[in-house]
Amino acid sequence: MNDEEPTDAELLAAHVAGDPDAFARLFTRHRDRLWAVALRTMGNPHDAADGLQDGLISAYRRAESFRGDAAVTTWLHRVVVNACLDRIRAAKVRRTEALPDDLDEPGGRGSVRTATGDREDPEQAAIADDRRRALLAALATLPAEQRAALVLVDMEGYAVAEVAVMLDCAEGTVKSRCARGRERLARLLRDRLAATGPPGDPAHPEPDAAATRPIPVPPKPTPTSSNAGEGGAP
Amino acid sequence: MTDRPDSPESEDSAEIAEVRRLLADARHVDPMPDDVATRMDAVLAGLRDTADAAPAARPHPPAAEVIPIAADRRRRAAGLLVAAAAIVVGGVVIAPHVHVGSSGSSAATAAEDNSGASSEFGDTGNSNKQALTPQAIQGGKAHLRNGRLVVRPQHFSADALAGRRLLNETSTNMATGGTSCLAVPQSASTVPAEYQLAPAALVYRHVEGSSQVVDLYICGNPRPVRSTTLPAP
Repeated sequence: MNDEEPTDAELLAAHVAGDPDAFARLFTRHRDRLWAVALRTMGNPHDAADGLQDGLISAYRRAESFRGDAAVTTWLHRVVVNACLDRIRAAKVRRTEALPDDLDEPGGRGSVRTATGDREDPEQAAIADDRRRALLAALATLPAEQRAALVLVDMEGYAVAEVAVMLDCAEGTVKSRCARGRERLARLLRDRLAATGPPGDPAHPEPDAAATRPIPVPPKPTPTSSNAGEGGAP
Repeated sequence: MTDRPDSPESEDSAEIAEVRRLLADARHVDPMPDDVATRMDAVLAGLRDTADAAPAARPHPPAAEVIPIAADRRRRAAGLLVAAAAIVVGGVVIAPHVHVGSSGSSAATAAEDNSGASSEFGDTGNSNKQALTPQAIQGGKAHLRNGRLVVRPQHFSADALAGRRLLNETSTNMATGGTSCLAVPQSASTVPAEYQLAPAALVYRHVEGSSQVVDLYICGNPRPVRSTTLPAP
């Protein structure tokens, strides 16, 4: 036995064989990316945590179903994304789509930093943040399958073939979902995109007063009995 | 996870390219928040404990999850007898949420829960808490595991109602105050619970008018993950 870290496949095999700690190690290794995918797919942290938990339990219990056809991380993403999509479908009849997680809390959200570097001046940071928020608001209006495809392909950068495995569909389906989703986003963000012009340096977008105009944001959904909204600790 | 999809992409106009750039910029790169990580750790611990307690339930023997039809039938019959006895003796109107023999899995879960239930409120650390008695379990049709009320995602309101019945049937001081993972004001009543294998607590707010709000907290998460409004008792 060497000192190298076990591979994902080895950890999963160890879990199936009864190693009580193997799955936790595997999950810890990938949890940040799984969380990011769940968050962007679900649109808010509460639902994302529920979806991720569903996926975690499902993966733990169905580990033996992994046949090694794809990478373990692909399989994990598949389980988590499917859990999220199941939740979205189940909730569809009970409530409206949730808003992105950070629309109401622009300050204090780590994801703000994803689009803005520390070196940027506050004005540019504000503009970039505003664009990101508008994008997420528009993304939340897409059908769940389109949203999941865009999150995995355009946000996370997975190859279409890999996403096809994750979403259990043909590559062509992934491409068409992405294409339709992008077109719809382009329509929703048209004013903003027109104001921005052709893409320049992504890290330093041109300041433009028109670009700060917020896109219409859907009204905040009324909390229902199915999922709690805000509330302090009891 | 590196290459971009093939772009068709005569139609990959500047506008579409800009959309893709915005999407890439919106990638969430921060680590999982601490409260979520704590929750996932608790779920993993619960899964591990479950596996330790019942090795046969581990994923590798799929046949272990199959419930024999005869055993299922016996459980259904036992459940129906209990329900009938409750109606005759107590004149109790069984609420629609009671799932007596509604499915094999729920019946099996109830049997499993009853057999595995401890005599105390788990590890709540609250000396005021008393045992969840078999009478309370039977009357409220609450599903218990290790002294915690099992709250099912698809039956949240029904389980919250069953938890309230449990609360009423035992002494009132048993569940006021806090649980091991929550700081609950004295004005609220709590029932230790389990939600998707994670330790949790149902918090019953003060009755306001004709309704009562019930929140479900997962240990380690300061915000309720589920909430419902019940009619006042």
